[in-house]
Amino acid sequence: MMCQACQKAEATVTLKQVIAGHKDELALCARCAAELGAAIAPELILQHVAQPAPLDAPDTLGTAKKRPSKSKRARPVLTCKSCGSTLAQLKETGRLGCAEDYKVFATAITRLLLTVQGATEHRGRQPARVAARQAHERRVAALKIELDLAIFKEDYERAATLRDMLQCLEDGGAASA
Amino acid sequence: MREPEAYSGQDGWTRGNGPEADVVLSTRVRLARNVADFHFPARLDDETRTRLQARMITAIDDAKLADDVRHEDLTQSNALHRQLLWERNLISREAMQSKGVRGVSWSPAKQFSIMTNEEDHLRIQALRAGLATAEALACALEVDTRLDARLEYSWSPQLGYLTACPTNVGTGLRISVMLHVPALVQTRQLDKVNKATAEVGLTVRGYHGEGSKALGDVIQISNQRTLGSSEAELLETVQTMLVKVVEYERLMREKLLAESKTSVEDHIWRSVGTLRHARKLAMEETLGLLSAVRLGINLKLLPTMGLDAMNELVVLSQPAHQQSLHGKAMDADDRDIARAAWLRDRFKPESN
Repeated sequence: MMCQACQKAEATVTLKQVIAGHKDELALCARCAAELGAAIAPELILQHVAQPAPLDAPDTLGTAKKRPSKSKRARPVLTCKSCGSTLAQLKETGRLGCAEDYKVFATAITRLLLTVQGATEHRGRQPARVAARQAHERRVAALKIELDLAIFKEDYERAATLRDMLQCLEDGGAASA
Repeated sequence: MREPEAYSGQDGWTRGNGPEADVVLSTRVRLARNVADFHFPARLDDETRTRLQARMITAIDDAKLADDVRHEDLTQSNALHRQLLWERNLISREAMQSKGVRGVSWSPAKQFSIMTNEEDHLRIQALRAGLATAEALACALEVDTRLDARLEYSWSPQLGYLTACPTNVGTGLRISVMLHVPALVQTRQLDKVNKATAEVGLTVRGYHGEGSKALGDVIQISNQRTLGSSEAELLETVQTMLVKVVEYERLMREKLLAESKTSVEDHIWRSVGTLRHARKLAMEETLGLLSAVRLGINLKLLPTMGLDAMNELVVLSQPAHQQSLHGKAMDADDRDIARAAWLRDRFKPESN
């Protein structure tokens, strides 16, 4: 599983916390876990899961800590290509410039969400188009499984019907998307 | 200017004669939404804002949300009129004060308003008198569903509805309930309420949202978190807590009455006296006086005067409404004099 904060490294740590009676779990890479841990230390419990991060990993906090000023200067300013927002602007105004910012500044925003929202996953309603697409994808997936099964059983007549149905469904999905 | 319709009292939510009216003034539910492929409003130039604004208004019209939907271009209306809309909770402070192309569409009949190009592209608000969280949420979600069919919303599978401020992301839902809690204030129980609400992720604020001061003994309780819980769960959390706070306030009113009836009566009748005779009344003092009268009515210590009439007095005492009523712009000093005269007339002994 990829780290839920930076989406770049393999997650090796689970961060659990309870805010306002609401439990939340995050899978993080060692670096993000250390950063988040420093930000909200009192409330969190860190648990190592699966394999711990290799000691010689190039991106552990240890390496970054040795030369903090140098790496800070060398690092280019993270800027959103869509609206031109920078992390500094985000921190100053508390507002994002566009929807893309949620991806560009994912690490910082995840950290913020954990403190102000106590959660990082939406659990409410969806736009109709999303719900429709998901239903469509579920139907396609189910048919594919049935098709595999039919081929496995060498029921080629059934397989041909299923293939037609799948084709029809996929064409329809593409047309309405 | 169109003051007559703005202060005619036909906006049901300002009347406050809904469920639990002895404590709950009104309920407001809002949904924050943005249209995909446009930057958030603060990052849009006026040309793009205008284009988007036209698109959103077309969607609102096509959605046939109500027979009486009105649109107002807030860029065109003057500051006093915008303040009037704000004092009636139809628009936010931001929509009232900011520059740039923005508007509001609302329906008095269905009691909702939609701000366009506010902090987010769309702010759908449903307003109700009294404690009516479920009804208000249903209204806002219905508007949302119809607009969703006509505008592509900015959405992510992980974070839900994407908003300009991460404090609104997810459901984009804020349920706020306005309560009159003079007994909790007098018995110094507000800290307890603050603590209890904070524990379940709710927050307590003042009359117009900001600050923690309970002006006129009015507080607003709303959910702070918008992410990680469904709309139904957030509704449940707010509703459960609200029922408790309402009971608590009633209990404290009984306690006040049992332990110090004369002091309570004294405070209420002094307030009536001030309203009948004062020559200058600032807004803050007025809210305190009207709060005492409202308590007096609820405790049956004062001759009957409808609660809805009381709530209307609060709305009409506000600066922009006073200026509209008197038909002219006034500075703070003149407003205080005009307000006192207007209230004297309302509280004339024979009119009770």
